[in-house]
Amino acid sequence: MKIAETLKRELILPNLAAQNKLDSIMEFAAAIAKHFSEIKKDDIGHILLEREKLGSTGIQDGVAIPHGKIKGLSQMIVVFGRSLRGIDFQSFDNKPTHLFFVLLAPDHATSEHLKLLARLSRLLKKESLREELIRAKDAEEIYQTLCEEDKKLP
Amino acid sequence: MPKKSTKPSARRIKSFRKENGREWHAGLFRVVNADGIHTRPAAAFVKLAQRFPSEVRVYKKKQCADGKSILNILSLGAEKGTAITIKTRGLKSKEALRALGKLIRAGFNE
Repeated sequence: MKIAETLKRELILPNLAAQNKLDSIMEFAAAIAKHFSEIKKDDIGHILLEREKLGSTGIQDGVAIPHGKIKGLSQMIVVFGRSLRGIDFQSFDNKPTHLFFVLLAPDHATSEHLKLLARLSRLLKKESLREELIRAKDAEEIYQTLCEEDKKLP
Repeated sequence: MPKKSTKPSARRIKSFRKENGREWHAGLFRVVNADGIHTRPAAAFVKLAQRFPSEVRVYKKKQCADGKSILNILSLGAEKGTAITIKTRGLKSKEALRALGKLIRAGFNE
């Protein structure tokens, strides 16, 4: 599954206003709800926060992958968020998080979720790409960078 | 006498040819939890791997991942039923292999 097929330009948030975990999740939820009228902001926020309670999705290297499953969702949703200042996401390595990939999947799509997660991780494990995403000047540049790297993967 | 539960993993551990004078230990495992190795299992794996000073690598077919990086492990996209090989070397490598194997067989306690 290509990232470009799932990621939309309008769902790239290059400058998150949020300065903490809760606010950032609600910022993602608001952006998703604005774009997809079928789901409500509060429901998305609730699902993402419930998942965080099981253990932070803030992993290593300044990356977090908040995610959740939503009943009746018609497609996978990917949101990219960036905070240059960094957000304390209680990450695995205790470092501030700069790059966020939010994934929402239909509740039966376990396999698709894992595949998308794998593909994103293959991209993000490259330090050079993470640096490019930090340096990119706007949403369009972030989108182009991700799509180009995505194309290189088999 | 080793405890009964550790026997199967002990049998699976093979000592590999020496590389750089340090021995690799390898074990073959199958992912048993329904959701495969998604974020939580990957974090649990890395957390355990980091408790050992040994080098840890995880293979799925030809793909290789650093066993101490969550992004690396996630990039394998290991679904339920996937066969993965874990290789360890260095200090406490046998112990690391045994502990990690146990975690996988326990379905990451999900």
